[in-house]
Amino acid sequence: MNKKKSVLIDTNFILRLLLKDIPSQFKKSRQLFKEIEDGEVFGLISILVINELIWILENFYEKERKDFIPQVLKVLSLKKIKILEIKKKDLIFILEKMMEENLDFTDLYLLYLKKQSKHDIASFDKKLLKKTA
Amino acid sequence: MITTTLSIKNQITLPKFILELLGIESGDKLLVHAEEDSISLQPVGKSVVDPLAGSIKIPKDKKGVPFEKALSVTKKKVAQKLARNE
Repeated sequence: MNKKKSVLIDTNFILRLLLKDIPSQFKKSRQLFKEIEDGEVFGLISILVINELIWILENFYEKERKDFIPQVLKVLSLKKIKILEIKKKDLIFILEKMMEENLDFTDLYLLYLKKQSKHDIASFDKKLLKKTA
Repeated sequence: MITTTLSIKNQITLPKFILELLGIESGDKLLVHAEEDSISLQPVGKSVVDPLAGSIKIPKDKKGVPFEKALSVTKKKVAQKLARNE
């Protein structure tokens, strides 16, 4: 039986697909995501990559969340995309929350971990602490 | 509105008239999304990947900026925000 190839995907591969601004990189990125869509390859994504992608889109490209989170969710919707650290459904939940709340990815991830573990959060961030009350 | 039944394999049959109304063909992909107390199905044609290509619009002066450069500017901006405690 053939074991499917798995690839760790870096932030720039997702970014170039979504921006399509560097043709040579876009071509390689599109090809990989098409292979993932066709079930030929497993794409492995870390939440660190997702965090970096959000940072860059918000701070360098100055995009609003409503203008890029739906696209990130569509990338995650591909069946052969796996998330390394948490369940995909939990990451989807965090990203959907980002569109509703003015909290960053790290805050929402901490809230997710708190819910999972029942640990308290130690923080000086009043906005975050208000959510834990 | 029409009722459909979930099979033992978690499959549903969608009514033909709805598929025709929305131009959905067999082999098309549907994005499944759980709402508060319902499920939505969004047709996306044969590919999810192709419509994503270039779907985030950016200004001309930011097109083609190398990743390392974008990341370094991002890090500075994030550090400034953190320093301002935003």
